[in-house]
Amino acid sequence: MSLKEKLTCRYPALFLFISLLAIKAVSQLPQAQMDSLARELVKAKEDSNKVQLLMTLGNEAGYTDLNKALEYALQGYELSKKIGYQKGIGNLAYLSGISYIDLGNYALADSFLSIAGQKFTELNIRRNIFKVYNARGNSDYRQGKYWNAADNLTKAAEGFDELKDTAYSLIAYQNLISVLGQINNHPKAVELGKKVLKIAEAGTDTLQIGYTLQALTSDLIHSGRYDEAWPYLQKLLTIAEKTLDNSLAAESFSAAGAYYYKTNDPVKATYYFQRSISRAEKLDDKYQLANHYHSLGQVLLQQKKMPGAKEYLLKAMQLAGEFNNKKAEYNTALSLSEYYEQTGDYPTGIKFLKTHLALKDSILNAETRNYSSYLETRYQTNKKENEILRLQKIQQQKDFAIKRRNTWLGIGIGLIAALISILYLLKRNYGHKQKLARQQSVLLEEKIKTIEKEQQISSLQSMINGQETERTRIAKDLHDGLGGIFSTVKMHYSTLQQDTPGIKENPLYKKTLDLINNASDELRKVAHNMMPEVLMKVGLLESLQDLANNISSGKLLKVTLQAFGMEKRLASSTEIMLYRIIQELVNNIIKHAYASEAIIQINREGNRLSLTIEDNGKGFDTREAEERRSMGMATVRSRVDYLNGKLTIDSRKDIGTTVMIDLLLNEN
Amino acid sequence: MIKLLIIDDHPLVIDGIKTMLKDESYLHIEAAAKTAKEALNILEAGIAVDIILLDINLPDMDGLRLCEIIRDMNKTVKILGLTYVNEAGIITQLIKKGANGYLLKNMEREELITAINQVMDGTIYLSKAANEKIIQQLQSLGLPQNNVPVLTRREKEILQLLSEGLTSQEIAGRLFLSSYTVDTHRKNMLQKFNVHNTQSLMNVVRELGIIA
Repeated sequence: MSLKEKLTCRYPALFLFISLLAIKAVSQLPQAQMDSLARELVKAKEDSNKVQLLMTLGNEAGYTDLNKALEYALQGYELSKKIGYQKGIGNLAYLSGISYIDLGNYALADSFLSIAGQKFTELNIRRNIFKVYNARGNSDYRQGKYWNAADNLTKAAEGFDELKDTAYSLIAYQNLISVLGQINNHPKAVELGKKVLKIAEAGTDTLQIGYTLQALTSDLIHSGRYDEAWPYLQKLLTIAEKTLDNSLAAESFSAAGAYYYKTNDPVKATYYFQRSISRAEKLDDKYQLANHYHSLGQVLLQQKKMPGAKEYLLKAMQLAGEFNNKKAEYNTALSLSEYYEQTGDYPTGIKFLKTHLALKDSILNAETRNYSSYLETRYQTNKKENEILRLQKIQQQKDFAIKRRNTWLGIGIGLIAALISILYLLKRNYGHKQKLARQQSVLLEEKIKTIEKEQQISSLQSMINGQETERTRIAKDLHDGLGGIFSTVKMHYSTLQQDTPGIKENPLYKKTLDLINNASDELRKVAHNMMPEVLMKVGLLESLQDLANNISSGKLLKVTLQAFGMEKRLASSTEIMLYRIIQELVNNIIKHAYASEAIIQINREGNRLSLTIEDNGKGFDTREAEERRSMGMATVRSRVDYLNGKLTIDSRKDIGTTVMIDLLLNEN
Repeated sequence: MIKLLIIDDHPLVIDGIKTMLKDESYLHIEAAAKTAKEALNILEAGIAVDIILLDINLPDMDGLRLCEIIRDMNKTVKILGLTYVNEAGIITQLIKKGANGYLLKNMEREELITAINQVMDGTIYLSKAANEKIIQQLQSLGLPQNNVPVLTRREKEILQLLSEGLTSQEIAGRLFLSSYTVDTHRKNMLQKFNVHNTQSLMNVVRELGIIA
């Protein structure tokens, strides 16, 4: 068989990201044939045939040795450029890109994939364009950018569908299933997985079937459907025992390990995790290895095999750090903290627990950021895309974020409980009346600031949520408790006039009455700043109108409020968040902008909400402002993040500033 | 004889009101309730009262809602809202829900008596501070004349460039904005003028003389 025929009768490699490996229609080349190709390479002339040869070798090496694969790919890429072989540039740039992904160098992967995408577009090789999307999805996935991943993979899958290329669209769908698994949408993944399995089983490609089974089994195990997983696992293991594909084997054994771990058979779990490690080590995929090491360490820890557990957990931690596998690092840190706790080394245990918490935050923040960048890219690149799909994704993302947030709430509550007790003690001491009321608010602000800093490790989101709940509670306590007492004092006092003629003439009487009035007004102001009653009882628009009126009545700044499509109230947490954002932005205008007019504008259409705040003040350089971010702007940003929104500041010197916030609401 | 019902969860406040009214023999406190439930029980039991002093912050129900319920039950009883807050939004809501007046809780004795008398005479009573708030709100009501929406500066600029036939992308380049931002501004304008496409928007704003 000539080289050319070999190339046309098999699928070019398409890497599956969870496994890093290509799925092909025919089985892998035997080692002997690989060796003969390698010998051919030595003799080959510097032409397009050599490029093809390098590509074949690169693809094949991708199954067994990633560094070797990259070497072939880069060599082929350079050669293509040298001889001006356009298609070769595209193909080998693609191969280099996917090799870099597997090796964990996403920046380089990205540049190579861009080159490949551009070349394929120029040459109009549509199948390969979609392969680039699939690879980008792979890269996004590994970096934890699940929304971008889902987007790219959907494009790939739909593209392949359009080309009626079942084999490829299957791969893209499989990858999509993995993404769903990552965002904990296992039921959906199982559903899609069963469909894909049916299609795969109709064909003859065992690797294809293997990968599909592997994903389906994992999702079932994650969903706790062990009985359902069992028959699939048996089929999967039969394939895994025979395959030369180290990645599939490693992932399959790992699934088996997870199955036995969950069904409380640690001996079998250990056996399978060891096998998954030995196959992954052959492949030298350090990213996945970190996961496998962690799994084994965890099982050993469960069996109290301490030295072994320590060894594997530390290995996992090191690899995860080196290869930027945040999730593995995050999981392993928790297991290590358990390990040190059990061995009585509490300080080290706490150290790892802190690492775990810090990672949780960075993973969460990264997700929020990813989501914002995803919104923008998505908008620019694909306006026509089907709205329903987008909304579904947003829904899933929200569910994901909420789950995350809930876990964080627990941690937030501890700190907030401390805050509550401090405030409660303060409040009991109301003898100091006005001064105390003021101090209380200052203290609360201080406290919140301090905690916000401390919590840079912990979650900002639960913090914001807790803050608002607490503010509401304090405002209510001030009104109902202290407020009621003040009112009563005033009532009794004003009746004194009636009962004691002549007391009005006593200057002390008048002075005291004034003081009571002042104290009472002060208290009202504090409570209002804490949480406007009208925001809770009536709604966002009315409270904003109050805000606008209060400022406008000062005559220095005229604030106009305009709202469109806001007839229905929003979720109260969203209303509070928007109110706070607007309050802060308007305060900024008052403090810094020297403006005479400002507009607050809210547009709501379906689930799209856009907030515009514009002033005619002195403006500023947005880049400078970025550098010396004020505390106020930082809170605005974190609140916008909380709402999964996008913040745009557009300012021009001496003309004014327009701040725009876009978000998608999660309500009907 | 005017019969009063006081609804307030704060026993001290009830006490204070009693003190203020002790010398007014024609005012009689018929009953006091600490929760919305107690209040409704009293009213349902058929105890006749002429005027209700209603605190809008109650532990078991929003006072605004309670006001509405009482008004549904009884069209003639006078209701004077009592609150510690002075926010225009709350005041207008309270009147909308059927209250005859509104008093701030830190009132003096004379004010309470005046309020009760005025409300019993059939006029609406608003405390002095509340009056100021309402007037403020009327003076600065956000809605511009003729119901023509106000355009922000950025919107005007974008509108101008749209009228010159530029695309969102070109406008973005011109104004140093992202085309996403330009498009959001455009969508907001479509909504403001209740139109569905840029062409209709241009027609409407030309008609209104917003741009040439």
